[in-house]
Amino acid sequence: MSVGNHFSLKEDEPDTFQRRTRIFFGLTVLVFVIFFLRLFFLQVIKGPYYREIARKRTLKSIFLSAPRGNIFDRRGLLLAGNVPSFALSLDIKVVHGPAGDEILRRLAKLLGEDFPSLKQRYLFLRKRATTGEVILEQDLDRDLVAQIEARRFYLPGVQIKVEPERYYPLGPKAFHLVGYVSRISAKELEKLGNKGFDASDFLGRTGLEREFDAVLRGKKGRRLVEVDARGRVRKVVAEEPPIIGNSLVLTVDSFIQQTTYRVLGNVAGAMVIMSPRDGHLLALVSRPSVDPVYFVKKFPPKLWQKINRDKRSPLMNKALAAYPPGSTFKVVTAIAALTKGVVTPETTVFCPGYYRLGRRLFRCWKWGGHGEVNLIKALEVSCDVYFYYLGEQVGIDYLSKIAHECGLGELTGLGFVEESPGLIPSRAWKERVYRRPWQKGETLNVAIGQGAVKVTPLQLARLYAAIVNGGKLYRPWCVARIVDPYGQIIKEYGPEVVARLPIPPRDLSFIRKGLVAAVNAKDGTGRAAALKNILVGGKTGTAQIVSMKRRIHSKKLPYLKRDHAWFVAYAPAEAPEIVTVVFIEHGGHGGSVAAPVAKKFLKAYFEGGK
Amino acid sequence: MQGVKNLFDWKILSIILALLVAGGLNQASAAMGGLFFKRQLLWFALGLSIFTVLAFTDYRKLLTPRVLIILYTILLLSLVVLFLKHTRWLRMAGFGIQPSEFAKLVLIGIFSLLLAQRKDTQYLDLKTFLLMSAFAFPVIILVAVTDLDQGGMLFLLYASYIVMAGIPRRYAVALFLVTVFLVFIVGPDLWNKLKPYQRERVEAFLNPEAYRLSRGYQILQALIAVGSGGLKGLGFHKGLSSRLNFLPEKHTDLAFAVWAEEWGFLGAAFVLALFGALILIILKTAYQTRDELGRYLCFGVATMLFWEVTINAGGILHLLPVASVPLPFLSYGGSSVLVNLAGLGLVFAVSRRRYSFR
Ligand SMILES: [Zn+2]
Repeated sequence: MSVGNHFSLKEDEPDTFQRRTRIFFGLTVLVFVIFFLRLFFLQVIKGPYYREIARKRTLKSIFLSAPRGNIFDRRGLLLAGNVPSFALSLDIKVVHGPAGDEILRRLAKLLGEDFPSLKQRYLFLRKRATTGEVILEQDLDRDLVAQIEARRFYLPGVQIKVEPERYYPLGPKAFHLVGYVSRISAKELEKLGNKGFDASDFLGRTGLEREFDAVLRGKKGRRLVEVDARGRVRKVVAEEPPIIGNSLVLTVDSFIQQTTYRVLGNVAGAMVIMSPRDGHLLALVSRPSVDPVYFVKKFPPKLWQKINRDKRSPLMNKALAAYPPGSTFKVVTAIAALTKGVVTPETTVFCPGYYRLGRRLFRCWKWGGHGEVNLIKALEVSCDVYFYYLGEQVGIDYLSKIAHECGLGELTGLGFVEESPGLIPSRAWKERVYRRPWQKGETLNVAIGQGAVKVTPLQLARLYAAIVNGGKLYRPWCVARIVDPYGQIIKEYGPEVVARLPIPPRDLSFIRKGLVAAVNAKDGTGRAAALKNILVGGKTGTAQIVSMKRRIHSKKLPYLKRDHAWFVAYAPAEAPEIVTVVFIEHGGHGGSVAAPVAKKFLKAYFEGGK
Repeated sequence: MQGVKNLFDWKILSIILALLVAGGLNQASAAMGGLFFKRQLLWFALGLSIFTVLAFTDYRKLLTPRVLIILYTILLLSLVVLFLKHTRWLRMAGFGIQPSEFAKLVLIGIFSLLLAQRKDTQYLDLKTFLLMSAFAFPVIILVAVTDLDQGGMLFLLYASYIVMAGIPRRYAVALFLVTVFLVFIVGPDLWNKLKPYQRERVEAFLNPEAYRLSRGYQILQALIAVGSGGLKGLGFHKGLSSRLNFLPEKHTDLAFAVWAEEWGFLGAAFVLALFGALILIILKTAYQTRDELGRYLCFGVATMLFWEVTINAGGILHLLPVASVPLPFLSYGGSSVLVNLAGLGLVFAVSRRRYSFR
């Protein structure tokens, strides 16, 4: 400021203009002081607060989905893997208004859909969009992908997203064993949302996909990106790559699995193929089945309706569900009687065609009876009277104890949540459930596998495996090892003996003789399973669903009242390689319905015949 | 003080240059693709030429009634054209010209001339008042039709001149009463008659969170941008909000938010201090100037700058409702740059001779 200025300011009395200028001067100073204070407050005092908001607004964490691990059979053939799937994603911030309509119009042309319906669908999805994008179409075919990519320039905000999608080469043939994955539901997401799951995730629902979900899932990666106001990624700030899930190598053989599926035919039922040598599974089939691909993609509504209405329950894994075992249970009664010493293998019982207990008559399945039968004969002809006698002699308490020691009424340790433990009735059970005392006659029913007894095909498979391998009750297993994406073994599984049958090996051999006779002897009930060159052992079972005074041929009954047909077979009898359980729900007579299926399988297995 | 040689006001000049540098830097950061930056530099160059011409011309010979009437007529005509076309812009050779900006300068000239010629310097006489209003209102109304904010800006300029000219106490009291009446009696009715988007602006100011996605968006994003600048700022070209397009109108209305984000409190306070100093220096020049036309010219330019800065920065700092008024030099806009530099050129010219015309 020059001296002259001061001089001039002080020289005269200020005029009106100058006085008012002073007021304006003061007002200006006041306003700017307010600005400075406000600026200081916003930037220095509230600075960290706003910086945090800005950071949150611009940083977005994106999950990078980890490809799920594969499931291989024992030969290394794929049972579950991933294929790239193309989804049509629309940016909701770009596709809106008149410009958005133009984009949708172009898309409608490419998709072969009319514009109004496409727009309606888009608006509907857009309302529920949570991530700023709408997946308009999943699973695009490659031609369409190519067409859209070629017109990228004219389709702003339209993106083709590539995601790994679960793929099951065997489709329905291995559905119950391998299981399936499906997209996480809104409800589950509420529960799992804070555990790193998001709406694009798939969860293992059944079978191995479920049991080994954590192993197969891998670990999601995360990408921290900076997004602009339109939600577009501008810069990757940090990235944590996803870790691919580990893979499973099974003991199951996909050829055997397919053969099993084929020979079981179009019935409701299940088959289990197990190695008696160490309890590993070669195949596990349940029918009818479903192609798991529909769970991954989408069920056509009609198909879904049909599956849900099907009384043969396609979704249920019947190999792990419990049913009355019929005569296949007789080996348990035999083991109980032999270990208790109420009979020896040589002891004979006379079968007049019925068994008298007090004033009640219990019929043998054969009108007229079997005459004198010993253990081997009784197994061969499946004489009910013989086992009524044994049952009465050992009593329900002992019989139920032995049944449990044979692995029945208990989970096998396979690990599938679908597995039922089955049911071995006992006094305590009856009193708990029916509040009535046990009746002696019920023991007789249990002795021949009728009444309340329920076992799973898998339980029977491992029981018969134990019978043929000298008494070792294995944990059934189907995963041989877990390997990482590079093939390095992470974990290896092996045979586990869970228990031993409570019977000396010598007595077991009599039971096996009876089982061989049942297939090969003149009067054997399982002759339909006999092979020319291979000695087969086995046991039929026909489980009644409704008790009737007289046996009526199953085919005359309504489907849901028909008998269950069972056949358990093993071969070669001298040195058994496989045990196979055939269960056909409401199939009718075990010897004539289930045994031929077992034969077909064994023939294919040993002779490679079709 | 006659005979004192012409003064050269280095202070005004250096403040202007500092503001131009800040404006250039800010456009370099905010503008996309550099187009706005280059154009802004072009406007700066053009503006400085006008500044220089005006600074070294005798403003008394320039601002004659005849010149102002011609300018006023051109202004009115172009405003009518705009009104008919429903636009704010006059397209000329690829550049948009905003006559509403030039209206400020023309009105400043007319007001100054009218006030300089009156006899009673204590209070505003009726004749002068009516003349001022007769010139002001057609322009204000025509501008407000297409650009309410600029219309309001012109009204503030007009009101400032009226206050400066001096309102007799009884009129002031009457005006006060009329205002109270308008606010409390007619106000609510008027409020309801406003268009929703006009009401929304005030409502968004009072509660920006509730209007987060519409009007309030601008307020919130501006606050976030300013606040996250902190003390030292995020650095040139590093502002998250501007780089990631969170700031709408970042090179025009919200240019100051970009500046505050990148240069922090130090930078923002510096720019505000430059404006404050500039306005105060001009007011001081007005104070020192004995020439009636000169002092009112200075007062007008100071008032224009004051309202521009107050409305723009006040909106960004959430002290006032956001209005679309550019911040001189920091906001992109040719008309704004030219008008402000021309006004400052006049001030400079006045300042050079402030002691010469006693
Ligand atoms: Zn019999």
